[in-house]
Amino acid sequence: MIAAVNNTASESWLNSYRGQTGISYPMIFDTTSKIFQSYQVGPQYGNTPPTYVIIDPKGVVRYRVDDTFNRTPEIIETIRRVLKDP
Amino acid sequence: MKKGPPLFPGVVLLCGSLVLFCCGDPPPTTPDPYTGILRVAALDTLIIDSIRIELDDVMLGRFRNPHVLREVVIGIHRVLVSSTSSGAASRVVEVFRDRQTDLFVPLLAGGPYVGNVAPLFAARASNGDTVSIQRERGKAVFLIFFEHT
Repeated sequence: MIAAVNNTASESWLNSYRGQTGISYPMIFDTTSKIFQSYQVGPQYGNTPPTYVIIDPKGVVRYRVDDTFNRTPEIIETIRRVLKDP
Repeated sequence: MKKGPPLFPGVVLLCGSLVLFCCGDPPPTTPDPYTGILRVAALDTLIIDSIRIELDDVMLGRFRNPHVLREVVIGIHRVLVSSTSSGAASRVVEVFRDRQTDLFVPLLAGGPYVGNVAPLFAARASNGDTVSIQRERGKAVFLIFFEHT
């Protein structure tokens, strides 16, 4: 399952963004920043979104990165590994 | 029979100069002008297991928290800090010449980092569905946290 979590955009912006980009995965509007806080995302935790988190089928965090380098290859590699070796 | 000069004074001179050479001050080491100091501190973690400075070097071993690294090449580095008890986290940091840069890594025992159980949540998504992490057990989950500016 893929989900995007956002705490700053309005619901209408999220919907129009979804329409423009054709994103099919759910986008969560974290109005109270509760999810951001529980995952310790934000400058108060010393990091800046975007933050990518991969959770394995047992519910354990297997990957986490929060910088703007191109992480696409290692994210794909990690998802493959997690799916192969849960 | 002509005798050559005794060897004795020559040996004494040689030994003397050796002693002088050995006991003299070592040449002063000038600090590399292109390095700075990086202090790595992790939250709630006593031992840091590795510090990896990308494209430069890997420092394996067990370091006390906080740990001060000297002679780090100046510039922008991605630093990956890991601890067996608290997972791993990476940060991008700029090291300046002849200055100490403090790098805070939010490694927290049991925190939402690699190796620990992901925090649970349930929330309504833009497509009207409720997304629940608990319900996704048995599946891999990829979360993207982003800010709209």
